[in-house]
Amino acid sequence: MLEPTFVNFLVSMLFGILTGVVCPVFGIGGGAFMVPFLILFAGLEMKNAVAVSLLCVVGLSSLATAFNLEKCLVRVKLGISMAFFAISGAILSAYAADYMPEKILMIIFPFLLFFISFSMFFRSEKKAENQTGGKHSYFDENCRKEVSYDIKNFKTVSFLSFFGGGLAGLFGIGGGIVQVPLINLLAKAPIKVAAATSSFIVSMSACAAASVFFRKGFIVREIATPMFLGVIIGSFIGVRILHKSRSEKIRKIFAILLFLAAVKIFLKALSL
Amino acid sequence: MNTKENRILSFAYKILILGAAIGMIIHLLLKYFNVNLKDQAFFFSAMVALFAPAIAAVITGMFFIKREWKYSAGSFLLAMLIFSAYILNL
Repeated sequence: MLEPTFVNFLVSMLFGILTGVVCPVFGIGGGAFMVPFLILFAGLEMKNAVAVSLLCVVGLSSLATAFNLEKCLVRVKLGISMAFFAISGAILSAYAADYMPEKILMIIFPFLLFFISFSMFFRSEKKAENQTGGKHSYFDENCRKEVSYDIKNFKTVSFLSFFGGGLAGLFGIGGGIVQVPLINLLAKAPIKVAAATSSFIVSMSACAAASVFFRKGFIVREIATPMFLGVIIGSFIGVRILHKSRSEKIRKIFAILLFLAAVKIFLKALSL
Repeated sequence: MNTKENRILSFAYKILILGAAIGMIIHLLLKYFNVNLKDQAFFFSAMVALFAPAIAAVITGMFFIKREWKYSAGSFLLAMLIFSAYILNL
């Protein structure tokens, strides 16, 4: 584990800032970056890494939700309904993670990272889709027009978000990788609304899972403190450059880094 | 939810998370000066961070209380689930 020195404090904080800056720009939660960093560089066990990551994800997604609420991008009713199932999944999986062998978690986790890195690498930037006569609407800053939409498959989407919450408890990632496609593809909401509503749900499910880990004493405060502070500072910067940045190339670089981290974790898991 | 309610909820989220961050800074300062209360400072700031979404759910529940009881009850249930995840240390 990282020694509690000033340099390591700064490294953890800088990594937190970096995560806080890039995650709102790419529209992903921070867990997919934080857990590999905590395992490979900070030398934490998987469960400790998941616990520290979840605490930071709560901070990051809560701040993202605060900014998205100001822009009226969050569908609160859908969020409440989905969060109920996501929290249930997160609590159950957090308890399951406590009883699961470390090696199994570390073997499954890289496959999740492979999937996230592929989806980051091949994702294309979509323009806001407009459904005429939709009940809800928001002002799209990029297209400079009002986008209207309807929410469909409310009950199915809510139930399926259980699996997104499950990822939070098991692997310390927010679960946005499940929630965003659910809201975008199944509930037919625009991608910006999907990402914003997902942050709202992730803040709830991550805090439920994190409180289980916190109670069990898995959070390593020497690393959690600087990372949490870094994430908060970073997300303030990230949400401000969100609409100005052209993030295509940076996103692909990060996807490759994530892929390499996944390979390294997989090899580490095999040697356990 | 209307614009005013969105702003109130957003403000609550910001205050709670910034409060947690300030708590973490206090924890670091106490640690630097080796004061005994450093552990309590971390505990309370982590608790504020962890329960920020639960408190936000309670506020959301209060907004819906007169209009749509289903969502109001749902929000309170969410908050209860989060608190019980911490309290019921199975």
